[in-house]
Amino acid sequence: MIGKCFLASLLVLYTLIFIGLWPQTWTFEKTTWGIITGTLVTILLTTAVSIVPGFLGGGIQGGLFKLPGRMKKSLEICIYMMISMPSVLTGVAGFLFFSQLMGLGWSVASASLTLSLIMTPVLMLGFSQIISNCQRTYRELNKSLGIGPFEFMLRILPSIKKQELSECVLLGVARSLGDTAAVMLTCGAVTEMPESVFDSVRILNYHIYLLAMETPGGMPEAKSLAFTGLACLFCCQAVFRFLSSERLTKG
Amino acid sequence: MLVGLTFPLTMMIAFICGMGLSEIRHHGLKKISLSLLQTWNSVPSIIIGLWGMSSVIPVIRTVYGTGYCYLTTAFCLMLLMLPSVMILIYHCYLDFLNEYRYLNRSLEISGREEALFFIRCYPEKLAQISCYSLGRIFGETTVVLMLSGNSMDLSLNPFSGFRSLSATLALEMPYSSGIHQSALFGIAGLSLLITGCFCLLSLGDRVDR
Repeated sequence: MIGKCFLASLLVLYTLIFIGLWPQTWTFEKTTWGIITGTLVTILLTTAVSIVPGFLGGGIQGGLFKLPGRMKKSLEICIYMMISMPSVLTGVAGFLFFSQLMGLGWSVASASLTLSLIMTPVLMLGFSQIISNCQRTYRELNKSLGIGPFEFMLRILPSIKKQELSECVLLGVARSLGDTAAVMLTCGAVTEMPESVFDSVRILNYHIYLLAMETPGGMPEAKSLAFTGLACLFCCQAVFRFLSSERLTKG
Repeated sequence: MLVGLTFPLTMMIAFICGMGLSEIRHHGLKKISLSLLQTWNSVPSIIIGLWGMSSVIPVIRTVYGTGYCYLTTAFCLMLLMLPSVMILIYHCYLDFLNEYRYLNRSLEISGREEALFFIRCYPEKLAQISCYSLGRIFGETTVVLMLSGNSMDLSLNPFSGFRSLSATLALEMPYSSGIHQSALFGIAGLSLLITGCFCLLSLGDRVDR
């Protein structure tokens, strides 16, 4: 009963959101390929930058690598503070450090590095949960087979926890991509195709924001983009679930 | 005021739904619910903001004012926060059930007593979840920018517009200089201090141990 009520309320909510976002007129006039390419490149770069420190931090937090107690506690505090830090503050930090101090300006590189500050702690926390669960199960086995922490992390963990790890990465991508405030201050607003990572781009969510808030008559296009984005998100999730369940069945 | 409106609502609904979710026995139903919840969790804030502008504001406008107010922002912010907080509470409650299921069964305690027992057993984890949600509510910028009306007037009327610290930073930082920039750094410092305090308060007990 509880489950059915819960599921029904979730479905009602989704229906309301889809109805609310349904555009009266479909238009994509102001959206260029430069915006879409820039968004994709930024996501890829952010993931590439965040995944290694996220994995290592997760290993430390999950108890795979030994650190002095005080350092581990400091790292834990830092991770929680970074996660709960307002995204606009990360944006300000990125704007001051990457855009101004490092001289990257408003660019893909600057936006990616700023977004990686948001994504890395999320990955660290997610990976640490997965690793600590695995540690409980496989600690003795690893010891008896003489498997080191690096070998366990790089070879064994991806094969036994593939789905959880990819879910964690997806969560990190969603968390960082969903932040508009951080990219607002670092990526710029150029709609043309970026030629290098040092070019300014306009990320899709910032584009939607500009259309909805600052462009006269931009609301239909903002709604069209938001609706399409939401539909794509659903499709991606469905494909991902389908693939992971198939893999599980085969396994 | 925004945090005061959003936080209790979010925590209360997330607590009830998170516990309800863990009570679902049917495997398929649970899988679909969790998938939908995770999809909802990954919906960007800009989409919720846009939905608020096109669906919630016209409804509030029929009641009072322009619709750009605390109430609209709190409602949409709650929708944005709910799935992540719900998932966290769900996992926390699952841990609790795994640990105390047999004890609860043998004592035949009611659902309400079980919820109270859960709060007593996991105060640290619940404090962490609260800290996380407080930090996110306090720091969320996009939804607030889109729905608050960005009015500088101070009013405690839930139907009036406002401007949050994070929205001020996002709006004014790109073109600021001199004293204006220093004032914005002050605001950023204050925000960081508040978030840091929430975080340290929730972690303090655990770190000492």
